Amino acid sequence: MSSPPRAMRFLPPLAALLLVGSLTLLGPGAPPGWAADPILIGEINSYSGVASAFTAPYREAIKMAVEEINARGGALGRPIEVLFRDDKLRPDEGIKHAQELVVQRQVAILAGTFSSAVGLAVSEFARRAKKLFVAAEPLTDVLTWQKGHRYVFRVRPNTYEQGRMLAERAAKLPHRRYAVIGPNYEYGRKAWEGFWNRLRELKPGVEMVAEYWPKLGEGEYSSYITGILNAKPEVVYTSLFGSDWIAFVKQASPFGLFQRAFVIGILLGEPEYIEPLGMSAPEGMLVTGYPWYAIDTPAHTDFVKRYRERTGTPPRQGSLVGYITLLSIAAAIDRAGSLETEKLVTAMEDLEVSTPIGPIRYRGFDHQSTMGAWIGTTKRDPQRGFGIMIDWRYVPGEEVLPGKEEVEKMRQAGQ
Amino acid sequence: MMMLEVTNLEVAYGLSQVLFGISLRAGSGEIVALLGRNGAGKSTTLKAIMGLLPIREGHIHLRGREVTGQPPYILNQLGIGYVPEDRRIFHGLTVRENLLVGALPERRRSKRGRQDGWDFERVFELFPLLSGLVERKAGTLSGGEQQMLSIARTLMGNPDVLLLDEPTEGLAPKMVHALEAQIGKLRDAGLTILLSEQRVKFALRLASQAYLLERGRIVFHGGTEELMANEAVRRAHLMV
Amino acid sequence: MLHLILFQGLTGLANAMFLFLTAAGLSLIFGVTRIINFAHGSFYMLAAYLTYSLGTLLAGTPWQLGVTLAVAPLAVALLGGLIEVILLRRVYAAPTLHQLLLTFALVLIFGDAVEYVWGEANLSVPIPALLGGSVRLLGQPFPLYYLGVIGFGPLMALLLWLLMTRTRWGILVRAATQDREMVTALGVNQKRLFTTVFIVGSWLAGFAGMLAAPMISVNPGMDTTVIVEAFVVAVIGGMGSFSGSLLGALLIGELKAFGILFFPRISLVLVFALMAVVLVARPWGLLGKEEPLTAEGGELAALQHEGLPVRWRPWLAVFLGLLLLPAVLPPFYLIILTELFAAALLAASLNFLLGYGGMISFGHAAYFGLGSYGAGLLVVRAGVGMPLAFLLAPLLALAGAALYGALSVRLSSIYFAMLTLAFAQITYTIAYQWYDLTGGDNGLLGIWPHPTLADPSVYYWFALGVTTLCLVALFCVVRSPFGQSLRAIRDNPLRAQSLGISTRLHQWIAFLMAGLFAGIAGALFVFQKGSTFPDYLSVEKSIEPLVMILLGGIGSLSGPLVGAAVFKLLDTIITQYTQYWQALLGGILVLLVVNFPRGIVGYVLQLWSRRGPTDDPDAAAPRA
Repeated sequence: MSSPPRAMRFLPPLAALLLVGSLTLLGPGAPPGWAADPILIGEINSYSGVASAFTAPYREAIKMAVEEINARGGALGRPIEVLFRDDKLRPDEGIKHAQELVVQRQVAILAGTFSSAVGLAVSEFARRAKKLFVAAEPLTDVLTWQKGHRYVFRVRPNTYEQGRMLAERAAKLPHRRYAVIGPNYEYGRKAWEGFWNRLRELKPGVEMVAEYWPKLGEGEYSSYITGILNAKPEVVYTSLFGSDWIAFVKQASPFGLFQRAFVIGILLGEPEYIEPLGMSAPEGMLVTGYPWYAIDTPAHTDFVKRYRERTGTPPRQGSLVGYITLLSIAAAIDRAGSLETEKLVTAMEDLEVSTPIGPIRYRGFDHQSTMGAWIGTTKRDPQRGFGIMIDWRYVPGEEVLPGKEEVEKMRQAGQ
Repeated sequence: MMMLEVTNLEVAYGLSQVLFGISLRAGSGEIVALLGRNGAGKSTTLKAIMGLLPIREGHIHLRGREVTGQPPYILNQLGIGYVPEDRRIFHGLTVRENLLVGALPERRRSKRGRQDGWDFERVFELFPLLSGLVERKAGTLSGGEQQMLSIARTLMGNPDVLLLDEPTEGLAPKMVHALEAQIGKLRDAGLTILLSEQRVKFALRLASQAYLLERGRIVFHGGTEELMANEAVRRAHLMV
Repeated sequence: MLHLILFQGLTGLANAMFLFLTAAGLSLIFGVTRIINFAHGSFYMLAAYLTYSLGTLLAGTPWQLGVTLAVAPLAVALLGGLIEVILLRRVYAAPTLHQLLLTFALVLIFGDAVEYVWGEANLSVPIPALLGGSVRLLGQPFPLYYLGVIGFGPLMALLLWLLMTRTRWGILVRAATQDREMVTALGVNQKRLFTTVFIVGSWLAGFAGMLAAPMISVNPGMDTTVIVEAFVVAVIGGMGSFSGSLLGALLIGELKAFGILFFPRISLVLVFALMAVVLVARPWGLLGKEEPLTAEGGELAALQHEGLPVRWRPWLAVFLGLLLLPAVLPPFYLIILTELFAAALLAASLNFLLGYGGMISFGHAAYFGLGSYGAGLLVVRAGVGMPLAFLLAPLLALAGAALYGALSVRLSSIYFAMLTLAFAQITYTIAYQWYDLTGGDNGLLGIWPHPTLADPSVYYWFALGVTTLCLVALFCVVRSPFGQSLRAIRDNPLRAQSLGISTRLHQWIAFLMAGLFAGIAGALFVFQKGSTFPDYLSVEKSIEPLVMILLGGIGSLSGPLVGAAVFKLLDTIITQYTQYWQALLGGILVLLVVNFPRGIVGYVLQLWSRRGPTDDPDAAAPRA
């Protein structure tokens, strides 16, 4: 090997310079203070991978909401612009984007997240950065309670609320023997705890005969199914969703699981999860969900119409949540009259937002919205070609949310 | 016309050169011995001829046709058969399967158009010991049996030139004796054999001429009688 | 009880058949070509998607089942053959690292391609009417489809056995699995054999994917799930052995079926623990063949530029330049650069192990993650302050490296890679499942630095200082007598042994050091991010530093640093511009492996040293 020429010695500094220089490709930092500049909202969500079936309609609805708001003149006379970031369902990616959005792009508000773990991570970041974070999707109740803080608000009804709705109904059933299967992560477990704790209060004699926590994305459930059936439960409660749920249904049906036990599924009436099953969707399940096809208030019908015109598809639960998230953010900015975080937070507390499903309110003491959920029973609809919810009822958040004292107790325990 | 002709062969492993300008020739139906101590470059020479090592310089001609740099399987199909030093039989395969790996597939066999081709029958005629072991796993054979299998396997490809690398290594005297007769029969059948050996007497009994290698170079070449007569060379390089 | 055993046993058996079909192809391909084809799972996935598309295309027609059976696996098989001819053929002579990264790149590309064509949604393939419904066993329904699969598995095994023992092709494949060089010397065209092996192996993956499709949800994530399991099965049974794959599949299938009953909470660990135990006791698998120690490092060394005089002045200039940056750069850039320092240190520590030690670790994230969890546990669970936690955290990584290293360093090349991967997976699973200690997938939050370091620019200086110190230390080790012995072992372990060097001890110590520095990188990273998650231990995180090293160039001081910088920038910038960042990364990897195996630094040096003797690895004839 010949010895390197003299020019070589300039290589390391040159390379370093090039690399640092290319950082500017990251895009400009927002120059603050121009009046007509858009208000930037940083939106982090799982746009690739398994959650994208949910987040794609969510993003569409956000875009729709932004267009509608800007058409009405925006907020504080400025248009709203949403910067979308993909967290790949990984909390560290979520934090990375949160840093970029806050430090580099200087967004006014952070929003979004799907996975509970990502939600908690971004919430912790927001707490430290003192930036308002409107968590749209993550369902773990810990987010606004045990680990709640001044800067985090949540739009969707959490695991505690939805579990409680289901428990109220389940308590009226004669069954006592319960089995549970759910994905082994924050949401999967919390979705069971909320239900089970409430059910035991209402009906002390219930017993858990089997519990299984396969990993998220397991895909192969036959052994779990035979294990569950062997324990002879009267009720099977599940917090599986997405591809896991589809695989479970396919594998459990021929075992007769849906005939041999009464099945309760949290979220499983949502179009995201019931429609891909087509006519093989299990019937007679007790679920929470979103019967967009049957909610016929003028505001909601209009929402469905606009969404369909825009996207060509009916709305999903994700669409509704995305739309409400943006409405809430716009309302908070208007009420605050400023983009300062502290003012925004104060404005968001006890903020009332009118949505396609009626008014909701962000409770001042725990920052949980009062958006509710629909509870009902599944049935196949041959005309539509997929399962729907029947005998449904909308349960507003107020009905199932804990009071201020209880929340404070939980918060103390969480510190 | 020479059957096999190697000119100025140079081979290197990475940065260290191991063969320096090897040249040798073998006529049709002749056994040529390749002698020398362990590490002199005998095996390397055979491997290089077989295309198993990259050649840095030099040429190889088969029946007057240049075949330098051809991949091993082409060389095999052109008529060079290789019997490696440590036999390298396929342990997990039966004797029959081992022979099948070496055998020419039907269409190529017909293309070669040879009437006197090797088949199971002829191979077992030469090595009767193997015929009783057809369905045995090759890994369970004795050393001598494995050596015979290794040669038989190569014969199944109908070579014109056989590169035999240390066939007697680790064999019992009785086996060595049998092998000597068998190799003789191969020559009589018209095969050209390049025989690398440490057992000098064994090799010289079979060969008509010999090359002596030392540290990757040829230090002597001549007829076998000539070599036996040259005491200086024998003392210096062969210790016999 | 009888009922329980029968039903768990049967579901385990059905599961085992899927596993067997997938693992058999993977194992076949490895046995003959020595390539671990990570893209095998992608072929499985593609076949499932094809089954879906053919189903919708031909729905209701009488030939739907027949056409699907014929077309889906065959299409995938041909694709496998095509990939072999276009890409893999070029890397048979390349170091194992390059081969592994190439097939990994294919996984990324196929993953995004499937998302592009079929979308992200979960698709559902109906069960063919012939096998729909269930039969009664002991009075309870059992899916007919699973019984069909259980029947089909042995039939396929029988067909495969016939193929391998009764056809010339099968005999050649088995012979090549033992000694491929000898097979070519006997007149067999190796290229053609390898291509056909890829076609048959991919066909098996395709067949398994088609067979599984009606019972699962078809989605873009299924490739990784299946490849991990198939890999475990093939390794346990012994790579290259069909009967081994069958045995491994039965073991894993039944272990899972009964494991969830008795150890519901640790069922995930069970599988990898079994793999680790098998690899420690019999590295080549239960029915695999022992392989001789190979000097893999020699191939790696051929790609390196060692012995160049290191000029410290330019590096000092870089250091001073970086030191002054906070004066001119906005805080976000500093955050990115701080991340970059941690990444560079991680890559450098792995490069030390890989480039100088010749040990390809596919689980280096374990030590990065242990460092970050060490910090997290100390801060969150023990309430220790930052300075002390930062000092102690790498010790957890060191302890992990000591244990895993002791068990791994005796294995050579590919088996070492597999065992390190298994250990990383075990660590990941523990972090994921030990909810009470590690917080499970929520990770540990609130791991912030000491207030004096809280400002991004101060933490930047801190990270710069720590990274520089560690790099200098690594450099000194490389140049020390220890480093020389290490390189001697890499280039020729047998000769080193004969020179009286204790190879295992040297390799173990190198492993410890690499683990320690990876742990420091983890601690640096975690205090900047404020949190730690199981993802820091994941396979993806293990592959990242490998990609950085490949990008920059193996075994030179600057290679991993340049590689880390370029990788981080690409990762940060690309993700802002495209949704298909994975495919792009995969494309870059393919380009690197095939055209620039020496990486950026290696390429630049090569351009400069043209006048010197060429030792281009591509010029050398391929090893058989």
